[in-house]
Amino acid sequence: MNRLIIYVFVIVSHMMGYAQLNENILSKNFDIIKSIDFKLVSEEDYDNLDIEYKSDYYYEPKNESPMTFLGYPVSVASFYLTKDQKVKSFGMKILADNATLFYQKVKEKYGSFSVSSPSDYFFEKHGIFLPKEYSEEAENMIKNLPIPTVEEYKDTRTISWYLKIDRNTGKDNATLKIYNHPVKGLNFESPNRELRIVFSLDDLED
Amino acid sequence: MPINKAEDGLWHTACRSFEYTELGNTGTKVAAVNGISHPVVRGGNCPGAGYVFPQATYYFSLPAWKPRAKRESAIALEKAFDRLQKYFEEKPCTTVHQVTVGELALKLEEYIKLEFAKIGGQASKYPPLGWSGEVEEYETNVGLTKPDC
Repeated sequence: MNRLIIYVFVIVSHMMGYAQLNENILSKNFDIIKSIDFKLVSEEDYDNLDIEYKSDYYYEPKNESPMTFLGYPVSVASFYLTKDQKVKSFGMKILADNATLFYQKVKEKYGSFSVSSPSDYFFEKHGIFLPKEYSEEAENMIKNLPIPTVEEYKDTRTISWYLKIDRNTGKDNATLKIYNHPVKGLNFESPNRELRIVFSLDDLED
Repeated sequence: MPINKAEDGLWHTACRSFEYTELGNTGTKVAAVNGISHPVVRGGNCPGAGYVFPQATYYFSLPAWKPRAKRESAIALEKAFDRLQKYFEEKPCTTVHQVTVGELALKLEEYIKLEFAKIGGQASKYPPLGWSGEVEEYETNVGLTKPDC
């Protein structure tokens, strides 16, 4: 009977859109997304798989259609769980050949970014070279640093959105953080990006 | 049960920034890193910008036996950056510049100390007694598609 309930729950979850990886799976039971394309992470996997941070499960679509984020297929992902198997954080990699279009979709869904750390490329593009030492002049320059436009979100090191997500117990704070990497062989001048996207729940206990 | 007890994020800081060497027979290893900087900007309805200048040298100490010291250190520093960004974002919106450069540098120092304490180490702007190693420049993974460790 329990198995039947879980099976029905999994089907309903997929119908509700959990094949998409986004903030909706945070704090949810990991079983709702787990499939044959998930692998329990072992210590050796950090050397052999595309895992950049400690995780419990690794995902790489091999047998089923890839999960998506804003319509973009996820090439790999990894998940960190709480002791009771709830999703506390996860990171995924996607490739975007037009990262501006990607960020327009992000902005449409999540609004303007909360905070960002721009890249050297971003500053250089604006003719700015960050000073090495403090001075009053340097401080004035810092105050007037440009704020990235949506077309420039892809030119940041990291860009974050602080989110509120609804749970049965109330609202939780969550963070969406995106790391911009140029695609191998290209640089920041190209519109292509390898995006590492991390969703994490700020205050769910392990 | 999760295999790993600590969650952490992808990082920008290069592991090669942290060249640990043992400090005599103290059971401690130390890495000295110069030039940690961090620009931060805030969007939304109250845009603003701040910067931690790359002026300070930090001395990071960890137990000599600690495995993956470089990786753990890079992640700890990234977590400190995350905290700094959150701090910057949460400052009340005023018509004057939101956070002074000095305030940001002090906050980053506080968060670096906190994150290194969490991995069983220490961070200081002063070299530990007896230390005479080399100071490494802070390096990032810009240009790489994966962290260097």
